[in-house]
Amino acid sequence: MKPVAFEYCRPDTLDEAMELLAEFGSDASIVSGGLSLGAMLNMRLVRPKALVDVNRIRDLDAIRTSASGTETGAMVRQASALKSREIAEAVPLLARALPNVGHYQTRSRGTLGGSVAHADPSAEIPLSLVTLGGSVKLRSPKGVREVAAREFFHGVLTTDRRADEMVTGLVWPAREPRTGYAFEEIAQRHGDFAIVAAAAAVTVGEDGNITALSFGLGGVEDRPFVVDNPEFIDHPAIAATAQEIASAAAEIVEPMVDIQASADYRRQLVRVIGAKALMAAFADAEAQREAA
Amino acid sequence: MTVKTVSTPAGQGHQTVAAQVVADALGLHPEDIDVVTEMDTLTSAWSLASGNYANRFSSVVVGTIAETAEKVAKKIKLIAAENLEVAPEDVELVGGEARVVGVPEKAVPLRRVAAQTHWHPAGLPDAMEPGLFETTIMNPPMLGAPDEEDRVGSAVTFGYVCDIAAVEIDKATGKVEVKKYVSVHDVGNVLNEIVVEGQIYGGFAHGLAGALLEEFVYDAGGNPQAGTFADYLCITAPEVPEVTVGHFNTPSPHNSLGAKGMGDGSSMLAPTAIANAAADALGTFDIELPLTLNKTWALANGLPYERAGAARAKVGDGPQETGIDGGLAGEGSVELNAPPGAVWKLLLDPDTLAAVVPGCEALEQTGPDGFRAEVTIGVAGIKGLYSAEIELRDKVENESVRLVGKASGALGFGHGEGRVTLEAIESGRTRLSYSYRANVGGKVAAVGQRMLGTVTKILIGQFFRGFERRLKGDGAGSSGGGFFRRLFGGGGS
Repeated sequence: MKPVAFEYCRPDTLDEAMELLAEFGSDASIVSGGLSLGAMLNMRLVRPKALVDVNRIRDLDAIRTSASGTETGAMVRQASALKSREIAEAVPLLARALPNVGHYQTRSRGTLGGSVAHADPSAEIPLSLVTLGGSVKLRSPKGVREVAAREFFHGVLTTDRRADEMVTGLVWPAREPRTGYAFEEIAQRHGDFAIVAAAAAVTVGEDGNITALSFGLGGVEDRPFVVDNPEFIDHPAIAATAQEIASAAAEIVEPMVDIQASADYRRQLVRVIGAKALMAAFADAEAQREAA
Repeated sequence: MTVKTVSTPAGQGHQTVAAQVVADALGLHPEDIDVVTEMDTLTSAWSLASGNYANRFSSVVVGTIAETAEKVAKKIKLIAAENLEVAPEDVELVGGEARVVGVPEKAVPLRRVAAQTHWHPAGLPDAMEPGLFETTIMNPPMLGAPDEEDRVGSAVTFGYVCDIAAVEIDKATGKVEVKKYVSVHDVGNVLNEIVVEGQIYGGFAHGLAGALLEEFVYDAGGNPQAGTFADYLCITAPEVPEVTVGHFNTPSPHNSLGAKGMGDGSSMLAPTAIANAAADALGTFDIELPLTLNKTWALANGLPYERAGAARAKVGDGPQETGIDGGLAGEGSVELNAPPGAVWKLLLDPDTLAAVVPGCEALEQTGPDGFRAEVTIGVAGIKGLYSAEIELRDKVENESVRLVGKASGALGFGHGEGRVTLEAIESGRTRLSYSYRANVGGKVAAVGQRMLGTVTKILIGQFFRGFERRLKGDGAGSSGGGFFRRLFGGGGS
């Protein structure tokens, strides 16, 4: 369990990091928290020529909220985001997803950007970003670009990031009024990657009917995704609808199969965990309507 | 004071208990006692008590420690009695001193007595050996000599355990929740309450892990599927419920402290208790542990269960009609802007293959229908060079072909087959349908199983994008050249 020999680079600035990525390209691995990469290095699944440690780069750990939304720097630690009042108020879905991310100890080290760049299909932060329709900010020696989260994740551990690019931040859309947010997942043990995770953002009108709906699933297919289900707009935000939405999703997903779960079992969990998330989102929206 | 024992504890607190027993016998504090636990056949012969197994410690080792401490105490009292000019039975050992019972100011420090045995052995009572060192070897009568079949008794005491479990099973998810767990132990006299309870909890946690989580999984090809602690699920604190521990005490007659072995705690009973509770809840005795989520859900709903990932594909010369049984498998189709004849020609052209196979470093034709290739696969930062041998079989010109092959490289090996079918569709176009199945072994099969599907999809996508460019004649490699070139490096991030 020892990594291959690699060059260890610890740039102090983004510009230095860009130079390293230009030099090493796909032979470089970027490390922030190192929680997944560390294990992959040890198992020699990843054999980089250079490890670019971005922990010393300043200005990547800022949380900035404006009217249009919240931007979190790539190096914002998961623990900091979980403690952040700004995140709790501006991005409640992320705040509700974060307690499911790893463990107390690992969240102190793990970063928001690292989780997104790693792109585990079960990971909570990518699912939250996809569900909210956020985006990923990337920088390369050639410039910057912003990719919609729904296009960023290509498959298991594969993303739209090019070899000379680095994830620098995540953009979370502003929370919508009268909208409930909820996150649910099931794992074999506390802190494990979810077998199925469900995230929901549901806007409910004055009449108690759904006016906007984003129902995201993680751990089911090879990337987090939002279920395409416009037919449920204008349906009442009640338990029966939650069951219908989750059951409809279970019919169309093409689940991964691994030693933990068969395709049929994942479909079942989409029904159960999905409905639970949707009902929690309905309740959250209802609570806001009452408070207003 | 130093105690040497042949037990080799792995965290069960032998030092704590040994120090406590000796301190009690000699009127010292446990922190005054150094306990050396080691077994080294260089310095002492192996005995049945050596090592750390079969509950040696509380049933045998600790009894010898107590007896040894008594021998030392007796010797100290004899020496002190002479110094204090009283009878040995009037001496007590308290607070690091040997003193006269009822006359606490008449005392001699233990360190003086101990020193006397070394520095002034001539002043010891008559016929007493110098030094203050005692050894006890216990030889319980029930431990007979090996019989003709070399069987030997090794158990001196027998502890008893009764566990009761109440579980609740969520039919919708298969989640097993232990609502209440009671564990009653007869360990004889409890030597140290904290150590005993700690071992009961620890044994229970391990037993529960076996009941609910831990499992070595192999696929049909013998590849370990739980190759890391991400897949082999050890139990962690949040999964362990509270246990109500009770004691029922019948002291053992076979050692001086009346203690029995208890090192296994509930490790052997917890799986049984949980399985029985689950059997009762589910109404079936056909229960195989561990009761993982997927399995329990299937059991609770009367569905068949087969551990996913255990299947294996039929590849190579097996009957083709049987379909895909498992392993890595997939299918798909693309529509190409050329008639089947043109697609066919290009598909079997080594030059084209070298150009469009993602990451192809080298490709050579080894026979009329055989190829050897060196391919770099680089997806998700996981990069490796693979050498592959591929054979074309069952060729039906302009219609279909079967590819059978094997590959090996740094991260694993595999063999598989693919089938390609061409079908003419409207306006001179072709629908190319493909299916593949493969069995993968080695490291990537053990730790990277779930990546294989994504990697395959990405590579197939890259292949057909390159193939289409080639069909149009405007793509990479159309300028010709040898096989030895690299046109698609990596591809992933």
